[in-house]
Amino acid sequence: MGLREFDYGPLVSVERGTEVTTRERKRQWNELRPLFMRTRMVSHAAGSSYLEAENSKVICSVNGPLANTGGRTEAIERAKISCYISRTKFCGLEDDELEKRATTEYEGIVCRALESIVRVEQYPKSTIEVHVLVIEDDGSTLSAAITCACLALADAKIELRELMACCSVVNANGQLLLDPTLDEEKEASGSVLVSYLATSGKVSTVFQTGQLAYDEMAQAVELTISGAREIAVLVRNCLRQRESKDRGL
Amino acid sequence: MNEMVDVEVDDHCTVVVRAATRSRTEDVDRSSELGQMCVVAGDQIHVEPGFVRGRGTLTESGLLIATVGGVVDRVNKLVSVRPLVSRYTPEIGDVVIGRVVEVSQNRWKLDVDARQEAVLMLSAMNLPGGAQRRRTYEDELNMRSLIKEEDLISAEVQELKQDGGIALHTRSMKYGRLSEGQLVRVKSALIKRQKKRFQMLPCEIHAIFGNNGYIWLSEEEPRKELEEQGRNTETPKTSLDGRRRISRLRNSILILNEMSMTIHAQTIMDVYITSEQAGLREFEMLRQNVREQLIERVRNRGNF
Repeated sequence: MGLREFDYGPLVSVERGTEVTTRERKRQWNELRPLFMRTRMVSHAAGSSYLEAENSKVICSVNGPLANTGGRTEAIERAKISCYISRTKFCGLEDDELEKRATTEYEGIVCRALESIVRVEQYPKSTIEVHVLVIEDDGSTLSAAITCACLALADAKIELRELMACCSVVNANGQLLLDPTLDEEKEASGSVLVSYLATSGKVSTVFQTGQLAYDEMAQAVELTISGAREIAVLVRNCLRQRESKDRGL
Repeated sequence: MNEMVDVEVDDHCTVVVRAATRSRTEDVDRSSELGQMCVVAGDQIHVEPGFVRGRGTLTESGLLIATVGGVVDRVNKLVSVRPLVSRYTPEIGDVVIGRVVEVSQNRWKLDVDARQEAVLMLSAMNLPGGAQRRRTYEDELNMRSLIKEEDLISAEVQELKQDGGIALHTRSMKYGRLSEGQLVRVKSALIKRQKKRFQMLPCEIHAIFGNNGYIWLSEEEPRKELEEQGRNTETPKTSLDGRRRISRLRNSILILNEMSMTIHAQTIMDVYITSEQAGLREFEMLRQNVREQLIERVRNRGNF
């Protein structure tokens, strides 16, 4: 399916340097950046999606369920989810920062988050491959990756218990900030990431780094959930749009 | 169809469905028309008590939840969700077309666009020199001379294993290796389920409609005596005119696929003939604006 059939909607893109995107001017502490998402971006994948929050851009493609190859016989009755995260050379991070990002750990987090929604027992002896490519990194890319992966899985028509949205919060100078940018992430003393299940309202993953006081933590989780709720509505709308396109309407 | 259903999304992303009456002449909002039966993963499906859970759904504390996006199918009490685009779900007796991805000990593994690779056992195919003779070690060694990697095969689904495995057989003269033709891949859900999978289209092209969404087009009738002759026999080359007709058919099928319309001989020929009448060359058919005009004309013929 060619790309040209899409009308590229309001791609929210702010050129660096031309416009100041500091929180003081543009955004409240509990406000998300404008989000844009779309499914079926990669023609050769079973399902794929693209998510953009201003300068953070993530693309995700799902392959599978594929038949298991190789001799390993573990977990034969359920599907194995494998996740790969990669970054472009021009993603905006310096080389030393790139090294600091523990990609393997992030891959594990995405995997675990996805395992909570995919009905793995429906796909015996198979593998579901999730490839995330961070095109540009301006903060909150891990949460963007999880949301994006959920979209791509739904697009690949893999059975899901429910939809999931993910959001993160940092604590910068005693102030909690929702959906942080890269600069805010660098300043922060602690961060919380929560993935939220849209229908049942449960939380499937909490990932905390740095220092946070007990009451700050509680506040932060509440804040992420409120952000994730907003994202979940967008995720659902995006999928509905795709559904209607598939039906030729 | 006066009865319409309104769909609203509340805070918790559950779908609230309420009946509304609209007349047909009114400008019906397309999204709510769609919402009548379309769901995305995680949506609650409203059902009468005593429903039976079907494919693509799951029950959680008495509620029916969709697990894939698609159209809600209701057959009496059975409620299931049918994805519009998905991998092929095999059923016994289906005719499929597959591409060989692996030759192992005594079996071939085929890609049939399903969740698992399909398996064609050496013992599930007729060998040269008598149908029912014992398979020897020599036969296993000669497997590549019959079918090798990247070959296309037509076969029938023989058995579905407990773990989702698919076993195929080619125990009939009509199945076997395919050559000298064109493969077209479409969404498997669009292929009409019909008795005759091997058809001769009115433009004198033979077609095999695989249930898995793979369609084979060739000028010659797909080879009948494959097993007897082995793969070394000469296949008559397709004529230039035949290639033109095959290309036109392929493009017609791709247009139907893109417009999500049912694919069978009738609909394909509708597009085929319309494109001929419009004076289009084969390679022009897939151009964006031409495609849209073409589909509009086909729709006006009234067969859809």
